[in-house]
Amino acid sequence: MSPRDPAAKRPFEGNAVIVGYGQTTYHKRPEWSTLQYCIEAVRLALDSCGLSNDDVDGLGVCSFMLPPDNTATLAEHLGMTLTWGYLGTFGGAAQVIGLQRAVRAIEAGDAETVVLVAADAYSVSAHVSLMDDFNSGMREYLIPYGMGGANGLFAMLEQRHRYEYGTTREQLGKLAVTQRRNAGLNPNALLREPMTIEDYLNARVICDPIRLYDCVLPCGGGEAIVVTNVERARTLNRPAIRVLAGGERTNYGPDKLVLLDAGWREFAPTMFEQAGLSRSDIDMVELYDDYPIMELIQLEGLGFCDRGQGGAFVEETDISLTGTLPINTGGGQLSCGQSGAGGGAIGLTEAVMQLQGEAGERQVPNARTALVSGFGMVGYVKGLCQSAVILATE
Amino acid sequence: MVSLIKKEDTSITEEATHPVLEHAGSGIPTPTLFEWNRPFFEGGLQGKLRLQRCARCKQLIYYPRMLCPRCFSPDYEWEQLSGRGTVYSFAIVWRPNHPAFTDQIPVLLAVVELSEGPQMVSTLLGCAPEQVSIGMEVSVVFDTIAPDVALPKFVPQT
Repeated sequence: MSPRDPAAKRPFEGNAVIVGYGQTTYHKRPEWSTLQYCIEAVRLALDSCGLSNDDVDGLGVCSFMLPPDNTATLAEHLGMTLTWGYLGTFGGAAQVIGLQRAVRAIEAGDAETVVLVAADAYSVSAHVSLMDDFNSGMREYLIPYGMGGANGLFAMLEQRHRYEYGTTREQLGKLAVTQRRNAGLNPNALLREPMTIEDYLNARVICDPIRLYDCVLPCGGGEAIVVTNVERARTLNRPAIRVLAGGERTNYGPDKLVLLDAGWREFAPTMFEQAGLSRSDIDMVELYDDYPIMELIQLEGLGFCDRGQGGAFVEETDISLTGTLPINTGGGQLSCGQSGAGGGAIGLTEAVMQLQGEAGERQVPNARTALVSGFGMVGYVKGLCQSAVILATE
Repeated sequence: MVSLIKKEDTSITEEATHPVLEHAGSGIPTPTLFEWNRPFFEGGLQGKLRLQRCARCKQLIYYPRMLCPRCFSPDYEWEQLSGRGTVYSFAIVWRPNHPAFTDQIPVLLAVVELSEGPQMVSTLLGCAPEQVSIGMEVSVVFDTIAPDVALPKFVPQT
């Protein structure tokens, strides 16, 4: 059941660029409704590039908890008349997929200026009740077993990765500890206090082998970016961030339950070729970090290292802000918090902030390129959706 | 709690190829039954592990589907399996998602690779967390959680 030749995908034309971003304050206990987080993130994003609601003709929304509201009713709240809309249902892969849809829509002339927002009023209890009825595969065949939510599934993934490749807790911990150090320089991160590798290794067991600092903290929050065409971007006096290439897969490897190998492997070669870059040209990587083990699987699938070598790669590579490959420069979901579907957008917001040179104390020096990866929608056992884009300054 | 004692009802266990267990707990979330998954859950009541086998491409299907996910055929037969397999991976769940399981911790969650090929997620009974390992050989037992639903679970092969 393999798709047609992945290289048959037509490249982006280079006419759509990102000009603005918005990120709300994160609340450990949500203080607003999901609708409010969406509206605030959109307002901040448009403010950042001097645009207003009537400049927007495309709107994309990714959220678990927005229903009964949706793209159309959010447009009504925001006073936007749309010629294009998107409702992302790919979980934490949805914002990165939405960006690619927006690029195509702008290239086709279906829209000129698009806002993509991802937000949720997410809390521990909201997460638990969402998981109990997340989708039919999970509800019928996993929930009756007391499977421990996503923790149980990703613990089994880590266990198998360790068994096959010898991946260690110390290797995974380097990601969590490095990201926490980055978060210390991010005023918006919820978890900013320093963490040592011992803290990570000795944390409370949640779902063996997963411990407390492998898990994200649910929170309320929202992320948004503004995408427009290059002509419009020139009028805005803002750094325009190019979207060089991207890819997405849904339900890759349908027979596998434990996702040691995912869709990134299949689309990454074409994505890098169309971007005209090699792995060593990437200045930072923003990975989807619902758990550190998923970061290793993304690094492997995206071709930064060989299959199974993610742990060794992280161990041997300087992944700090001044290193050869900075990873999750704002702290990622592991340290900022996971605002539901907003968690899948945090890497995109961070990359745009970095490439526009506005990341403050955590600015990666001379940042010209970034790879952002998305992952989500756990169905029966595995995350069904993988996505990634490569961004660059002009 | 699940007790590892067979039901006294011999009208069921006489035909059973694998143990069918009483489930004394309550409030376990139960699956929604459809035409294409009812024989799977009801098979468990008779101690039989049954999966769909596609009539066209002959693939065994798990989880149960309305159409074969490989060849899209709507035609399938229910096939009884050996009920044996090995642990492909596992996790020791100390924080179950749903409150109905808090008196069962730790839940030993596992991906079991059935001898016939398909993998399924289930839980392990009758062994301690430190006894579980990848590759461990297991066989099926059934946990009756509702009048029309018995879930396949696994115990170490003796």
